[in-house]
Amino acid sequence: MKLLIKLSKMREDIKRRLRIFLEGSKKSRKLVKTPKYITAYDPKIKRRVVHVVRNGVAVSLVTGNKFRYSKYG
Amino acid sequence: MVKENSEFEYLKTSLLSKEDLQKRIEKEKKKSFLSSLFIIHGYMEAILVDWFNYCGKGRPKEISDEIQKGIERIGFISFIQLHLSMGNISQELYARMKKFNTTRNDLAHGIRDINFESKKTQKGLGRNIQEGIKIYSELFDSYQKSLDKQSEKFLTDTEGKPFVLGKSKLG
Repeated sequence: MKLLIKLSKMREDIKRRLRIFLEGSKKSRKLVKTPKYITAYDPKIKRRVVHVVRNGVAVSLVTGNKFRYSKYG
Repeated sequence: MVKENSEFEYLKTSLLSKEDLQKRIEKEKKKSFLSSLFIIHGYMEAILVDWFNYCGKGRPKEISDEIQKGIERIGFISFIQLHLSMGNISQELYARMKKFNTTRNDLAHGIRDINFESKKTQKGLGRNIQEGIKIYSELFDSYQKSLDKQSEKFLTDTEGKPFVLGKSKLG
């Protein structure tokens, strides 16, 4: 049981470290003014189309496909 | 559900806004009047093609590549005629765009010797560039209006509520 708890803690720690490695720590990240619209690749129609950005999520205006849009530069 | 960002390569760029164009033209003007005129024309054409995705009921998902390529091959004049018939652009804007296109075509394809060093030519080209920027800003405004309309369709369900995100691989 103890081993399981230890393993889960280790797992959480690895996740945290990996996130910092990929995205940077909270202190180092800088907020960037997000545009209302962006153009990005839509995998459903295999084409670049306009996406609307709301609450950190970009939504394709053609298919409604969503992806996370980082507020940090 | 939101798909993982890492699955696809998302190249995120801002729209071809009026401000972007003005900045680019200011730089380009110093080098060549002609290229700045062509850039404006290119921006206009890009918007006219892209606009088809968001006007009316929106682009159906099932459109094949062949149809899409066919749409992209439509000429500038036919594009503005189509947009005029759909009520996207006004009659006045249509006339101005047509005139701008004729000037551009004359300079791009016409067989004539133009003295680009003369002040008269430079003045004329400068006037055309200014007109082009004005046309583009009007065109962009109406384009953005249809984008706003289209975005309402996708955001009505989730308005006020946070988006439901898919579980990240990182947890």
